[in-house]
Amino acid sequence: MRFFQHGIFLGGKEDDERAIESARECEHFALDSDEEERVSSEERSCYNCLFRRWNKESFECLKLKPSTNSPSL
Amino acid sequence: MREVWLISLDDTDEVGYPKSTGWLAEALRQRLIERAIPTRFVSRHQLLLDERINYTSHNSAMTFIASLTPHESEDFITETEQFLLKECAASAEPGIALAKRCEIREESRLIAWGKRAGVYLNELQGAGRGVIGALAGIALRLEGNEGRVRGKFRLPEAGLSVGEILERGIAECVLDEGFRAVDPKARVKGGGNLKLIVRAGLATLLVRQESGIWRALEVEEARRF
Repeated sequence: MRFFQHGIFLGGKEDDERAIESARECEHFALDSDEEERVSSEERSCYNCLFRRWNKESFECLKLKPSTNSPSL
Repeated sequence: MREVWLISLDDTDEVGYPKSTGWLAEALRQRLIERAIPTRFVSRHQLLLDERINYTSHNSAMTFIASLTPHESEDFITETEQFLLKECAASAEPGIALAKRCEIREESRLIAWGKRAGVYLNELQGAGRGVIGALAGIALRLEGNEGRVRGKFRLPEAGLSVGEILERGIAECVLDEGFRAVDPKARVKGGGNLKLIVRAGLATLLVRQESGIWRALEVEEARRF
């Protein structure tokens, strides 16, 4: 399943299932050290990752910017 | 004589930096608490997420309130600046805004008026873009109907009455989802992590009635308010 396009998460802000599945496969995942900024109750979720950058509709993965985008994700 | 100050911080971190702006705001507040200086909760204010704005990851400002004497306020401004320069990320552009509540003259035009509105602003490092968010944080906290209170908590398994929640200082106000007051005798249950929001300037617990039983909204549910 494809989770990102050009580093942008395709599930928007409320697709917990995909955010968890994506984080499970991700070698870059790092839990946001500020518990306050974690938005998913499942810790290993892209929504809780230190390297996500929120935008209006979704978030951008700063580890998967186009130049480093991994085809496996 | 103590006076009420609003203190707001923004843009102190960088991608992957472990100390968030909220963490720094809470650490500053704790320093005041240790000196028995009255403070009120740290609130998180969501600012605009737009590609025209250069933000790190969330674009949120953190604001808290403290009652300071004139001498304490002078010392605290210096202490805050030194603390942030030491603790913020190398590439951050931290900004702080401090305003004495009684000296804010143009509340409704605070952002546009900036420094002329009586707010102390300091661009601490880099271009100091953080002052923009910090100033917005002051305005949003003053307005009092936006933002979440930093921290999570749980209610006892058996629940508490609204009156007990208020008396124990767990929340400053308990409202239903339509922002209506709930009977102080009503019992409120809450199983998971709970989160307070800012409403009418108060740290507010939101509750929902289900089959005649009041239940506190959990973190995920409170997020949409």
